[in-house]
Amino acid sequence: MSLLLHAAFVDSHGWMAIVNRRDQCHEAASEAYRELAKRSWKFYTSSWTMYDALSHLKERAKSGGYEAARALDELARPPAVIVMPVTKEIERRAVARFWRMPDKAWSITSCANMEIMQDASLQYVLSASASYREAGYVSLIRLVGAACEAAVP
Amino acid sequence: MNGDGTSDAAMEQIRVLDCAYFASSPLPVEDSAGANAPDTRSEEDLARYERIIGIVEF
Repeated sequence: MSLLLHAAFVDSHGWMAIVNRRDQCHEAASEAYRELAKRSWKFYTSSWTMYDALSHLKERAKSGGYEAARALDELARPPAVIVMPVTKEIERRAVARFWRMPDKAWSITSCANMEIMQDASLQYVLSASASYREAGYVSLIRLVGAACEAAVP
Repeated sequence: MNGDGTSDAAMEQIRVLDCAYFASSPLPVEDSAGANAPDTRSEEDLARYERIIGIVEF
């Protein structure tokens, strides 16, 4: 199967950077996200990642997080965003990957996302997390020192 | 222990999410049938994406 060239996986860091004006990577993430949306790229995420992002936002209800979570939840439906369920098989493989890489600080959720990206032939990820780059994926935003830059192909 | 060396306890620890809510999300079955050819998004579609940008500050 060939790699999907016009599709990106958005992880929880990516979602938070897009929605939160004070996030260190907000400008870069917004620039990348807006550009990809204009180019009609497909956005993928996982159910675990979406739960994670919604939970983080809801924790900040007093700062408008609940409404933000609602807005993200409304967006996170096909065709706008394809939310891939973490199946039992993906979960099993994610946990195996997690334990197989003792020198990597990859979360189990990141490992599940990597399994999904692998299955869907995705190579681009909207996240500044080093985990995906370490695993061979292409980050669309990157931390360079204290700055965060968009790196859209 | 499971076949991949993962302990049952570890497996149990991560079984905290019920993905049923997202179970209706379609699999990318179109991947081998032209998914690399982007479709065209309307102004309304783009406005949906735009809505979440910077929607919160904390």
